[in-house]
Amino acid sequence: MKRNRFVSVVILLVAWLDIVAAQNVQYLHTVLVGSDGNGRVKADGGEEAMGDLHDYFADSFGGRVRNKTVIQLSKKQPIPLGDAIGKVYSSCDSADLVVSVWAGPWQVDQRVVERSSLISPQGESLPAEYVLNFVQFLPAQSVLTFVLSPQSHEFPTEILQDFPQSTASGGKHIILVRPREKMDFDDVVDAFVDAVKAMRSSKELDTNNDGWVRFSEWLREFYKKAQAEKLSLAGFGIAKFPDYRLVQVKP
Amino acid sequence: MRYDARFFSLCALLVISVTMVCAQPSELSISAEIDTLTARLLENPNNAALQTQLIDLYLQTFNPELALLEISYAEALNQLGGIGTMMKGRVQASLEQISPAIKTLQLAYLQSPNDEALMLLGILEYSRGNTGAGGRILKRLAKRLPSLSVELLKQYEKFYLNGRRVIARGIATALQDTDPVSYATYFPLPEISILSPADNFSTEASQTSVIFEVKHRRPIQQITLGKRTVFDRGEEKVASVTEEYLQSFSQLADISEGKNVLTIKATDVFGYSSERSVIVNGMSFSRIAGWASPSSDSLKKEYLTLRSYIPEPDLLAQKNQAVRVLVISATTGADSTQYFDRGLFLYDFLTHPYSGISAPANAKILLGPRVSAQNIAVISDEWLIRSATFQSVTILYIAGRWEVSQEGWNYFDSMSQKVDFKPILEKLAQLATAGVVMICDGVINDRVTLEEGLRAIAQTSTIPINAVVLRGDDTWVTGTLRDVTQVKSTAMTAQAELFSLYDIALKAGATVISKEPAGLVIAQNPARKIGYQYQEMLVQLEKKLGTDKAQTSARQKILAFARDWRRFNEVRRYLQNDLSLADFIVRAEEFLSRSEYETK
Repeated sequence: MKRNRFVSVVILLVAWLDIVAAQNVQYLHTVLVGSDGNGRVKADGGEEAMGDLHDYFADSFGGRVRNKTVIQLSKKQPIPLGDAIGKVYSSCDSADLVVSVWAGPWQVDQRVVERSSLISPQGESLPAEYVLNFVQFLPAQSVLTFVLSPQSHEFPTEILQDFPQSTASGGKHIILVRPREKMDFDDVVDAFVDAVKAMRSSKELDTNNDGWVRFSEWLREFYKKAQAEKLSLAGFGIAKFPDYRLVQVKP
Repeated sequence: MRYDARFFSLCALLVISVTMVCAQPSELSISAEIDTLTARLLENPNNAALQTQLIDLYLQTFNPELALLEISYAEALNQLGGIGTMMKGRVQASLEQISPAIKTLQLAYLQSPNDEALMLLGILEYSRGNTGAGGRILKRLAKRLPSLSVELLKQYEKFYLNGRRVIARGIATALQDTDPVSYATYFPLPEISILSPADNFSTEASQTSVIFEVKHRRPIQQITLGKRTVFDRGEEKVASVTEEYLQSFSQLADISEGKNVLTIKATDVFGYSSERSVIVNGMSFSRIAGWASPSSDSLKKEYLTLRSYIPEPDLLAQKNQAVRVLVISATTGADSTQYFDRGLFLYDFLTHPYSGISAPANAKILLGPRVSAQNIAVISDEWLIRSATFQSVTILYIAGRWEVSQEGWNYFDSMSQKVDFKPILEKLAQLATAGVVMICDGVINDRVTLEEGLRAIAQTSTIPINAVVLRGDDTWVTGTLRDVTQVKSTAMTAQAELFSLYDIALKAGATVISKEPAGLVIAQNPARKIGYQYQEMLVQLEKKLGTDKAQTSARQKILAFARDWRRFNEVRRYLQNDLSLADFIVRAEEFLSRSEYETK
């Protein structure tokens, strides 16, 4: 009887130590929302790349995938956007990694920036605040959200002014992707996709040589890759959480 | 099938309703609108719009349990679609299930962004103490929702009046953060005005009447005076949250010795409260009957012996209403018992009917734990200084540990807290009174400085001041005790019965510091009084024996008998013709023969 109890305690202890030591990302979820604008505001390129991005991220992070949510707003969706995102929210765990990309033009409301919305042919009401709340509400502790928008219809950054500009640690981040020089939106999206694609071979970015690529290490490397693609990234730290391990580079 | 299920449930509800209606006179119906909707829904059970309306009405009327029941039905019939999550979140919030409600509402928002979900999320974040997240949500919302404050207030009323205090408190905090002006307007604090007593009022009574008024723009839930509840609304429902309150109260409050802080607290139905306090100084500081000390017991015992030979009226001292006595004797360190003993002895001596010229009502005693800096401050300000008159003679005895320097005369109270007596004594000496007697006793680090200081005070003062710094032992106690209880037959003057500081100083081997040689009378010496009176009586006795033509032998016997002062009663009776000469002779002979027999 006593022995059984002892064994149970040891097993629990080992399990706990394992959890504490590992802190690995369990699953990858991607939410990729693209809009090419509408009849009045054209922003080609926002939707096309979304289909491939999931695979590039999955390759780069190397983990298991639970959700692939690709929404191209000019096309008819199998389920509404809200329901699709709701599904991600419901299936998401705190140890998961959520990567989302929001690409498209924004109609900025100068008086109330929160009312600014993503322009799409379906007239989907997607306020800028929704992106921020999406990041904040998700139960996952590692959330990476990229926002790409044409220079003529940029995402309203004022909404992020309460948050520090930082991507140094783990946690939740919103990263605004902009071209360093004048560039078509189409090219910006392509450059971004290339930078993500380039991360597929970045298995040597274990800077502290612990045999694991961490979330923050991945992010630092991505900044370099994006710069190589003539992109400028502005990261905002939405919430701080522990730095999770993504990929094991040495067995 | 669905219809059957609904019918069955309604039958069950009907049975319950009938039971409840029979049990109590009140009706089960929540509102006519709900009754109508329920009836319509009974006719059209598949009407999703009616179902949604009913759930919404249940939520509006704060019936989350009924709303949950309807949601379960509707979900089973797949009638709700996307709005089901939002409704569930509202129900969970209404039931104060904060964490589940947050999860459900977050999901509801992500499924269909709406401001109501955001507002509830902000409120719930505040309710679970996450003010940062809640504040960010509500501040963003406030920019585009001008009526946010009104909405928050509506929610507050709903949650608070239905007993959901955690969320109600969260809403109030949220409102305070997002709209401080509305917060101050909507949550005014009750106004309390204390009409009597005035602050820092001093009283000798053990109770005082507190008259106050409470005024508020909201209904009041409870009013307390100290720990006593003077008003309580109880479970009574609030008819209107804007119902004004105005009520005056007159309550008796117990006053203990020293500083009493009487606090009145008024709390409104929303839990907002304000407090008002008034300080009342309890100034009785009378002697506690249970206090006893060997010296004091000896004094009383000796007085009792005097009383067995002398009629009480002859012993009673004449009271002087202007004489005030204050005895302070801190009990610190190893000498604590000694100081307690001396303090109590002096107090009993100065207030005893046979020796005290001060009325007990004019005497205060601080011994043991009563000797606190706070009590000393109260008594010196409110009684010693403030109640002094032209006729007042103040007798002050302070015993304990002293740390005297040029800067101050620090006296340690029973908690070893320092009290500087120099300014107090200087102030007392400056008052136009009939005189001050100061007796300093105890362990004094620098007697010379203290004596010099007292001398300076006595010299500069315009009123008679007698002061003495005792040597710290109790020789003056035993000396005084002997002096006031042992009747001597030596020749004395009528003035000898007066007891002054010189009498104490003489026994203690200390010098009285005084500008004038005449000492202020602080007590009566009963032994000397009786001794002097008896001496006078003996002279009259000799005269009367002559007048009554007593024979020489009888005269000698009577005089021998009357030599002892304890024959006071017999001599008095003979002088007053209450005892005949023959009886007096018999009494004397009887006494002398018994004495002779006892001697043999």
